[in-house]
Amino acid sequence: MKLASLLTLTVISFSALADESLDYLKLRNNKESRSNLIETKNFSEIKEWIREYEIDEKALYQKSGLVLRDAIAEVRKNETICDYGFYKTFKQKAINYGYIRRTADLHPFLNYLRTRNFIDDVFLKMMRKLVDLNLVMIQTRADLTQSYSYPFTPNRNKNISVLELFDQISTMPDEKNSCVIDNLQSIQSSLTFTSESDKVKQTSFVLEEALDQKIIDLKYYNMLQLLNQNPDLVSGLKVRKYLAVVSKTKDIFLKGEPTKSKVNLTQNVISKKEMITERERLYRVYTPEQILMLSEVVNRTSQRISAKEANIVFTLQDDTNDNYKLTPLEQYRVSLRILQKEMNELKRSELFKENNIYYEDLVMSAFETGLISSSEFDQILKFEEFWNPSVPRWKAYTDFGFTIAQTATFLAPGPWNVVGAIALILTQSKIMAKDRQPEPVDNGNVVL
Amino acid sequence: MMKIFLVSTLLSLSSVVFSQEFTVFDRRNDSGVTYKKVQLQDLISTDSFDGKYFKIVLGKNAEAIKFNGSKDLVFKAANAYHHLTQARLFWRDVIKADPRSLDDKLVVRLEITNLYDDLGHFANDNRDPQYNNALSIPRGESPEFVEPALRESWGNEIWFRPKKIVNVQSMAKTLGDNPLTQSLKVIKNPLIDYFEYRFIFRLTEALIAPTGNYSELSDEFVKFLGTIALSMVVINSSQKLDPLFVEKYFYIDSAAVPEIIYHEYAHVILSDSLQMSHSTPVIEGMADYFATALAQNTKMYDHIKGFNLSEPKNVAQKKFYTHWDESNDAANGDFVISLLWQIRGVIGPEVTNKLIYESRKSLSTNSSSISDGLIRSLLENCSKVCRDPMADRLKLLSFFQSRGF
Repeated sequence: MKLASLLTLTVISFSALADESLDYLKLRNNKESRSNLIETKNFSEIKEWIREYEIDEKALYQKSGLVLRDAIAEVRKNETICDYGFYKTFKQKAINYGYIRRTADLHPFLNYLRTRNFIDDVFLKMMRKLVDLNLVMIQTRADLTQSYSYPFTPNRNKNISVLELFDQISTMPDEKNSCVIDNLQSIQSSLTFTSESDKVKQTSFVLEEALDQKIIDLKYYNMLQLLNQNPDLVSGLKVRKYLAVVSKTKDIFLKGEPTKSKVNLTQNVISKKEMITERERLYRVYTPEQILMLSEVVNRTSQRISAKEANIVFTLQDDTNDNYKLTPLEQYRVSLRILQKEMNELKRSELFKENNIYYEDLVMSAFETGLISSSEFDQILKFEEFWNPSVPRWKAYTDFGFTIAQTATFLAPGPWNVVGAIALILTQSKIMAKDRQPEPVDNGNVVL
Repeated sequence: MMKIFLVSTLLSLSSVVFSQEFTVFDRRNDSGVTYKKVQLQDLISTDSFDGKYFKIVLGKNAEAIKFNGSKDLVFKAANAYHHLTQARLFWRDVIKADPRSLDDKLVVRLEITNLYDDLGHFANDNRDPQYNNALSIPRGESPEFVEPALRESWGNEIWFRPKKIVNVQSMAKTLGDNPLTQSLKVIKNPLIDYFEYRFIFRLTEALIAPTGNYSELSDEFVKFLGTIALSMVVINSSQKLDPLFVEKYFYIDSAAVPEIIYHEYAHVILSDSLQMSHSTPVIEGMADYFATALAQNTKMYDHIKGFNLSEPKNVAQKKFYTHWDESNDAANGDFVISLLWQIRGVIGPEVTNKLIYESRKSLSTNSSSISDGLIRSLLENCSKVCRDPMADRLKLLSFFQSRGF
């Protein structure tokens, strides 16, 4: 069942890539304020690579994007994509343009593309993994003539039907209509395991069974085994998912040219282990359709806030209307309340039951679709303060301190208890007055 | 040839302007007020305060005040002329106001006590003479039913009233507006709460573990009641001290105070949309804003020894909005000016100047409130003049929210 749903998703994503909107220019970075992946040493590597290949830097800037253009054109022509297949196409194009001769030189070339914003960190990270995977394959090529051997007795997946498991994926994929990484992951999705290391062991067992039963040949077995042994290089965002999100969502609502200023939050790392940024999380977690829906919530909020006026209409018992015109600030607050409600409705919906939606996701989606600009980003992000106000750490400590001090004055002997209480009251009122926020309910001139 | 020479000579004479040195007040950037010598610009008379754009007259007179008049009057006339010129340059060069509103010659009346009468320009001299303020007068003319000999027409004018010393201490109400009463009110309720909790604590203790000795409980009850009684007595008594916390006297010589001159000139410029016949918190606040933008003081209308004892308006105050701010009694308050001034910190001074100036077009003279009319107008016009309309509108909304709207 899991395999079937994965294949369905693959077909959907493939058809998305045949879309006219998949343009290599959409890969350009206009969202990330900085690169989390490029380090100082990468610049010297780029210089070294340019020197070694005797590349004219001006021509490089003008033509390096063509490698991307040709690789994407091939994707559109074939209407299909596999991660490893895309990588091989990209590598071949880079060789054709004379930018690399060795696989390892793809690293400085990709880094160069990132430093010049031809690509973003999300794409760079995927491609780096694929280059590293290829390098591992090259290093272990000698071993691929004989099978790996894992003396291991499974206790979890011993009753699984290996023949059934390899039913549709028993031959070496062509990396166009069938993808080796997908095949491995579809096998793994059918297995039971307790941890990531156990997953590798259980998969090895199944692969050996398939080899022993001659369901797969040695070359295919070794390829799957190599991928299995390098889980970090095959995990994470897939190229087709990335391209599907880019083609279907990126800047589709953008009016005019994209702004040059970018947003810092996109590059906030939310998982240090895998170096996943907020933006990468968006690409990994949500489908293009979901991103559009999240973006639409922000769009509607923005339109409500900007509406010329808003009214509450009461239809009275005699069918006449009583109209109350909201003030601009009431209109603003109602719009934010509706935003909160719509976000909660999305969380409850079937479409998002697998995802835990954060408010940042809505704003990130709206930024990705070009609905909001970088200058609007921070302002819209602050909407959450309306229903989920942040308490500064110093205030939490101060409140705790006052609670302790109040009890202490209560137990102190007279007259220090009274003196202490007055001092505490004055200090507290001074601090609270400084930090006090207005409450609409305190104001007789507003109803919301 | 001779005719051409005469015509050209007459034309050039009509545009000849002079400058002459006078002493005026100077107050910039909260640094207090000083006397300084300045050259009055664009004078068309060599012996009176008659200029290309301003004519300074005494009372109901039609002729400009002469340079050789009384020292006090000449000082105020020069001061008014100089600061009006500064204001005009500010509106022309910084705000880039509509040139039509800048080129009309303005009559400025000093020491005038008459009420304004929209039927006949000046009300009778004996009708409620006015002191210690200033006002702007809209252009007008007598209606047709007025006898032709008495009919009059006039352009926009600014009237500065003479100063009159008023003993305000004797008029101070004992409502408890003094800081002592306010401070006592702050600690009253928490203190009563404190003794109430202590009493409840002792009461609970006595109920859970009765000892038979209830003297501590009764002590706490007495303290609790005593605190309530004592605080009421002290607070009520402190209210009587209001007169001790106000200035003994009050007076303003409005023609001497630069910010008042800027304020009144702002009314004239804004009058293409906001009529000068009304004084609402929105209209006064807008005029205050432009006066502050020109004066660059955070405490506007501050004391000037011998000329002004009014309370300053603190443009940096962050008081929350209440519906009482909409009252016309609050027209001279500092809520709107502080609200508008602090927008500069949100979207920048230049854009704020432009935004507030443009907003006048969407306001109604007598019906625009602060919470709806002014805010709506600022937000609407931000779409036209803000650098980043959507982001700036959101910043403004967040700011207005923080001010209690």
